[in-house]
Amino acid sequence: MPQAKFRFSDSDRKKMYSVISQLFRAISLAFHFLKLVKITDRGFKTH
Amino acid sequence: MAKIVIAGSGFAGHYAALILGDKLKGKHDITVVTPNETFNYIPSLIWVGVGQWPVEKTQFPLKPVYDKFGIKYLRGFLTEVHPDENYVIVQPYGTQESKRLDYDYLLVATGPKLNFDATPGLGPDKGYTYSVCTPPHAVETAKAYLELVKRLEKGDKAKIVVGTGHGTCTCQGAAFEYITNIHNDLVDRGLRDRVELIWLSNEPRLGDFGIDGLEAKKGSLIFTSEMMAEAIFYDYGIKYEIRSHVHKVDEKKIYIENLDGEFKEIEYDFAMLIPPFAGQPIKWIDKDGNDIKDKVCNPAGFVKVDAVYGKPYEELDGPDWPKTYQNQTYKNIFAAGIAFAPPGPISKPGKSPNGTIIAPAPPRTGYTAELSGKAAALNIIDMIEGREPQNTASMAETAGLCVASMKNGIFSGMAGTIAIYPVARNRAKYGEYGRDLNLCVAEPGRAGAWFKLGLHYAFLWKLQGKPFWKMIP
Repeated sequence: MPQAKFRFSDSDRKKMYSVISQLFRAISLAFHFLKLVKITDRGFKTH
Repeated sequence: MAKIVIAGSGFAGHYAALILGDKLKGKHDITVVTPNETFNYIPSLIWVGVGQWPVEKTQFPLKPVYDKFGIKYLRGFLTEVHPDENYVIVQPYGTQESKRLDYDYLLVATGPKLNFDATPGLGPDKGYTYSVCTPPHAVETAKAYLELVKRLEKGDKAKIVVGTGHGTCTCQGAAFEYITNIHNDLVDRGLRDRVELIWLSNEPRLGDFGIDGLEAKKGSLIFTSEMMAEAIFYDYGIKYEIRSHVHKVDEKKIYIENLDGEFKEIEYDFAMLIPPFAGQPIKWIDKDGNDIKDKVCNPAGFVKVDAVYGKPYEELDGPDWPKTYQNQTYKNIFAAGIAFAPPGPISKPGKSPNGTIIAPAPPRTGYTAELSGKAAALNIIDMIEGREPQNTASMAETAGLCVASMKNGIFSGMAGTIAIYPVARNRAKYGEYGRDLNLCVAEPGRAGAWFKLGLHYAFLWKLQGKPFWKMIP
């Protein structure tokens, strides 16, 4: 069976597990999600 | 007064019902036909299947919500549609009776039939594998998994296989969530070293998820869902067999064939394999009593809408995806969620040298299902008010928002956050990649776990029509 090729670095893992770093990511991602929802809602024209 | 019948109470049907109830309450007659007593929030069944959540936490009763919105609720199965005469036949739940229901507008949002029969030995009812696709399945899966855990605690070793049970499956994301949650649950129990975890899927490459993977810009680099899945599987020690179709399953082995035409056997002690989906077994009958299912549905039984059907994969592009979800033969019929027929796959389909088709079907669940339900509901209102349908939610023009849980928990949780725009590649609009890479995201982290929990509570709030529900996207 093949094994995975790409690896996270220690720095990647640190960021993924750090609560402080993830709090900032959560805020940033929440705004990003809202932006995508707004773009998506452009299709709803009559209501 | 127009009569609207909605068949199905999942993301597409239930959300459409709330929109129609909210806008048309008291003015028009709305009926939801569904075999379910509860709304089932399928994305959280992963945690039920690992034995961490009671199933009740993912459900709420439908009738009180429909009462609040002035919607009639008929518990039963849609068995026949007579589109020339504008009526459906419903079999009330727990009976062999037939009930006729007239409509002016029909929305088919029945979700899929879980087609376990496509693979001999697949599924908890007639086979040997488990599923997390329905609440009863997830409960049964948790029971079997926790029994396995007991054996592991006594010192046994085991091989767990998770993935897809057929070459044409979709919803690889749910299986990905399950295998990573199993890994973390076993780590927490101190049992991970006793288990070999194997990912078995029909994806042409890791991280494909039935959407042809995704690429996201990270500074000057492009990070892909394949890289994310590879790195997670490496960190979690998960082995994998991809590009594979499952021919059959017996008590001890899973028999597969891959795109190179190689036949393999995988031994297992516990397997959770997602089944392929098919359209619900609904008869479509014209005014002369003829079966017209071929005219209204695609070969898998999904209802055709305003897509461009019949193009080969290489020629399929954004403009070919449905926009209004209106059937083109019967303009007062709409289909949404998994029930609508996509124009083709998003992932690259393959065929083994032996002729076995290995082609992931496009996912159209969750947020995507809701969007199609919303478009259909608003377009029905358009037609009632004398307009042509103007509301669109093409998968080639809307975002996909998906959070793949790997471990539940506020302080110890982990999930992959995936945002994709648009879901189906649209090269006519976005060039080489067919997507806006600046808007795509693929990243694992604790933030994703918070989103997953947040989405659970937000969706359950919204779909119960509680105060300010309309403000939740």
